[in-house]
Amino acid sequence: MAGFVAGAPVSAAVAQIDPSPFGEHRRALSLAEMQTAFDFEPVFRGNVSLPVYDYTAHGDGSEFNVQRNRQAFDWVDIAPARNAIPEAQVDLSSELFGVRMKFPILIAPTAAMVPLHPEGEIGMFKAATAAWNTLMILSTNTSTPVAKVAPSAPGGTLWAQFYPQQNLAATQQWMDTYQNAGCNGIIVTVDQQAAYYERSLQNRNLGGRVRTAGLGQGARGAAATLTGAARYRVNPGRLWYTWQYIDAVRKMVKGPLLLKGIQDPEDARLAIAHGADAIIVSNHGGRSMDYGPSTLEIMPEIAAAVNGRIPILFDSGIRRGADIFKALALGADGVCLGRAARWGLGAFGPAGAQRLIEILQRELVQVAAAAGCAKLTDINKTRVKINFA
Amino acid sequence: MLRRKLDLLRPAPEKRELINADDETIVAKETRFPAGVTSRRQAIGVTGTAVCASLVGTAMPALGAPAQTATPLREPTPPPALAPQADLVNVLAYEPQARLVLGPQKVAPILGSDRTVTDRITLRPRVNIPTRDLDLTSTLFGDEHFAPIIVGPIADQKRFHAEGEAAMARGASAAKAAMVVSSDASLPLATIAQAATTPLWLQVYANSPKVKDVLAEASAVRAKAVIVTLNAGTSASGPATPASARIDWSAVDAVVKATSLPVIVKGITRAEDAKEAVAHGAKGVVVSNYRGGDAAALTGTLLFVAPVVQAVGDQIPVLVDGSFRRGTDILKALGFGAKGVLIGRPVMWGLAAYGADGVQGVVEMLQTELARYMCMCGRPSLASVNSSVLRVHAALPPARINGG
Repeated sequence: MAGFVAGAPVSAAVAQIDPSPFGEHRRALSLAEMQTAFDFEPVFRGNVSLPVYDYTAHGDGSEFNVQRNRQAFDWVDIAPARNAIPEAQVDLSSELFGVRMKFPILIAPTAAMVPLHPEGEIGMFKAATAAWNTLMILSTNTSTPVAKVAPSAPGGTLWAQFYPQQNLAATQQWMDTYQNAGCNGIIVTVDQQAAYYERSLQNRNLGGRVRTAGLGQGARGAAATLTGAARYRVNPGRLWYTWQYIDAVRKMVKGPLLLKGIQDPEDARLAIAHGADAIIVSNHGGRSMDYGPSTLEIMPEIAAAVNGRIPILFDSGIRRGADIFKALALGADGVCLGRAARWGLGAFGPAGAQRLIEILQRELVQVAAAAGCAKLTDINKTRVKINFA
Repeated sequence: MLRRKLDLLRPAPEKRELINADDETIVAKETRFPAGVTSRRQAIGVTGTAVCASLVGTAMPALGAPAQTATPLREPTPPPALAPQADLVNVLAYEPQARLVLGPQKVAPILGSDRTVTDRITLRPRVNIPTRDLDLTSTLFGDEHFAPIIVGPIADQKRFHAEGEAAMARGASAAKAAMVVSSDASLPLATIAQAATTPLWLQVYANSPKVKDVLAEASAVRAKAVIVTLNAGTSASGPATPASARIDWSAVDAVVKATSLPVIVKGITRAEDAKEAVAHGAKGVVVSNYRGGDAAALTGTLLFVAPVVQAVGDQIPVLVDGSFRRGTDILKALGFGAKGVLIGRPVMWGLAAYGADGVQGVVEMLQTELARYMCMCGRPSLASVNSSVLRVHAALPPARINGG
């Protein structure tokens, strides 16, 4: 007996002790425990398969731009207010093309929500509407037809997004479908002309979905018959976009026409010249172009170019109320939630999406109150300090 | 229950060896919970007892045999498996494959990148500018180049692949890229020229005694240009010249006099040196901080390009080399006014891991990436690329805790 005891492998025994003995009680947090938008992401990640998660998370190329979108919020400080006001005095309501908004927050168009949650786009629309009638923009790559989504949340406002279709008849068909379903605002996405997702390719290598159909980076060589960008193995499908096309779409859209993906003051001026009613300053959440600037960095120069002529919406990287405050201070009239809203839906379904929107709304009110801003027009450049150059 | 606990404490001899094994993973692996322990909690209870028991045991004379010397009980690691080339998603992914094939010693001279400068520069995306007819071709020294990406000079490529420069030339030709052959190549220039269908340039060391023979050989195989590497001694294996050393222009003069081919001076980092190069008859310069021999000189060269272009860009083409790993890096160099970039280490990674196919893969990947970013910046041709495609940022304040 003594021998056995003496020979007991002390170090081996120590190695067996669980460094976190309560680990087996680890669990996913419940909806009631969600404190910030960030809390939703791990729950969402646990709910869906890796390709579905990565489809929401990934960005173009090295994802430098995805990271920079977030970093840029650290490069702007909110100036301490001399006189904070009570939250009850804060009213951030506004009107955007006839739509009354209690908060300057919209749901950005993002594709295929049914893989996130069975209720998909309908669930998201119900959630957005339940969260103080938050306006939702439906993606052209929706997994639920617009005719089913639009009537699913009475009282809500649904706008629709689409990618340019070179065929004008096909474009007209899209417009008819959207406008007949009751989508007044039309968003045309003009960025992401030749994006490429390395992360999704890695997934393919791990046994995920193959996403390399057609000409891609994986394709080698080039047929002698190819011309232009295709010679360099770039998919030319979206390389035809022109401002003349925007002119043509302008004539088809009865309501407001918004151009999404504007990242340059010159493009902002051109958008106005070609009849856009508003622009969305967006780099597609880092999914459009690697090594592009963050949207927050370019916001001041675009706001200067637009000079109040049309409303500017902002997206890419919003996770907190303070982020929204900074975007508004640098000239945005409203912000769109893309990934964050998807986290909410994917984590807890419509209730999660609603809760996430409400968290950001509340955070924004808290920040505005602390900064002494009672209304939207009080949130301006004087309330922040810009540290980037 | 007690009996089972005691059984667990029985020191099996092979386990005792592990006490001395200085490797946590082995210990953890070999002391898996025995059968019968069903949960982690139960196991903690058991080990708790074991620890107490052992503490008691230390006060008693050990009856068991003394611990034997440790023998490595490593699990055999699986043999390195080269990834299928089609699985590599970017140029940087070739580097670990080359390491796999070559091993740590042989791969050392071609490892590494310095892309810190490139992270301070962003590109300016534009919309609604048609780029379907994208054209990356340009004319350099009388030849049309498919894209402004050239395979740079690397000495003695048989160090990295059995077929050496011949495979490199085949790969570069397959990707429609010109190639610079080092005068320290492991194969005769004629053999390399036979494998190539794209323009070959020849690199020489200005102070090398064999420079005359090399130049004669270059003319014989119809090389299209000669690159003189400054301040790099007389060969790739020779000692590095300090960055502060004065440039020996007489050696450049000697090369210019000895050949009818256009002479490109490589190793320029300052505008005044570039002007001097033009005065000494250079028909092109390569902005580069390569100083021969040692691989330590890796500082990004991107920010040196603009001053050199400003000084001589209207007279001769300015090329650049140094840590180009992505199409975005190359577009930045073009934005600063470079007419082309030389690729060194990445094509060696491709060559080492996959031979000519790897070279082709790396070069084509860079071509494709450059093409994509030109499309997204609304630049349909090289002539339309200028500094307005770039934003150079100051060093930014460090990120704070905003990540959640």
